[in-house]
Amino acid sequence: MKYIIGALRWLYDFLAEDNLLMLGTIVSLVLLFVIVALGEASYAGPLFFLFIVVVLFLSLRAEAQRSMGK
Amino acid sequence: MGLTAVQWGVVIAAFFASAVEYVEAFTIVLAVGVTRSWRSSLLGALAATITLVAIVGIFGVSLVQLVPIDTLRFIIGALLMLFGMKWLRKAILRYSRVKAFRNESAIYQTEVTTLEDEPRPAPGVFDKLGFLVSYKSVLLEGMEVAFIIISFGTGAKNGASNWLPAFIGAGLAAALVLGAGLLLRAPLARVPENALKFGVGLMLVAFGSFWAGEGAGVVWLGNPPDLSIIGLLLGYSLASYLLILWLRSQATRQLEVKTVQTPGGVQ
Repeated sequence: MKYIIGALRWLYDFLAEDNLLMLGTIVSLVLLFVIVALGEASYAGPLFFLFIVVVLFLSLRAEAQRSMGK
Repeated sequence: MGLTAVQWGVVIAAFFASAVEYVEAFTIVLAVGVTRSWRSSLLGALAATITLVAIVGIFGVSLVQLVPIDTLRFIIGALLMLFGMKWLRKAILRYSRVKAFRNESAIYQTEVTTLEDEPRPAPGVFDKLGFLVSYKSVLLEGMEVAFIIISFGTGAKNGASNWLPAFIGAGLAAALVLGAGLLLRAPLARVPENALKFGVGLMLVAFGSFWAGEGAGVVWLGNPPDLSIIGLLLGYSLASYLLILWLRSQATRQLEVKTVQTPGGVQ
């Protein structure tokens, strides 16, 4: 049990490291489901790709601002 | 061996993902072996490997048996996305010079210095510290490999058919890194680790997007739909390249602003 809790804690720490990136990816995955549920299954793939690129951009911009001391 | 194009993709992705993590773990195992004892270092690495195989076995088998395939593909896709996005972000930051490149030789030297400062056990007594440091490093680095193998292994349409390609990729990487490491007896600093991490990040995000989409019921372009993985890979590569260019320009502009603001700088 101790090791399972340890493994779950490691996974939590790993995922919580880059909050914006992780949260954005999870929201994109939820939106993917919503778009398919709305009956737009053929648009869902390209839209998901765009969401992910935007999430990556936002996360990188945040990190760059932190590193460059803005 | 009759592997499909997707299965070859899994072999390649598992190989490079595993190789990168093994190189990082090997640096620590080597540092422990050189400074403390080879026995405790190798036993620690072996114990961690057994733990990781157990994790893959337990989680992998229970996921395949308990979770419906579409749900499983979505979960697997999501996991690959989460891991891949982290790798890709880090790689983009490194290639745009916002973050420093990883240097195995420097890490090795730091680890050797730290371990040399620790008191040694009496002769004939098992070196617990060496064992624990080696065990922990292999377990932590290998945990990502374990999750990636579970993800690839359970991600195919036919439940278990990707296990073999995933294991082949990871096994080949282990043999190669271990062989090269034992031959050289030095940190594998010449392995293009940063470039590999970039490539693997792209592959994980591309596979993750495809499988998450498959699980959610996305209708992909291309016939067969698996071809979309190549499209996703090219799309993410192009986006990453543009992001690197943008970040580099940001860094340059920031440097120019600082130069102007510095007394004596160009006005």
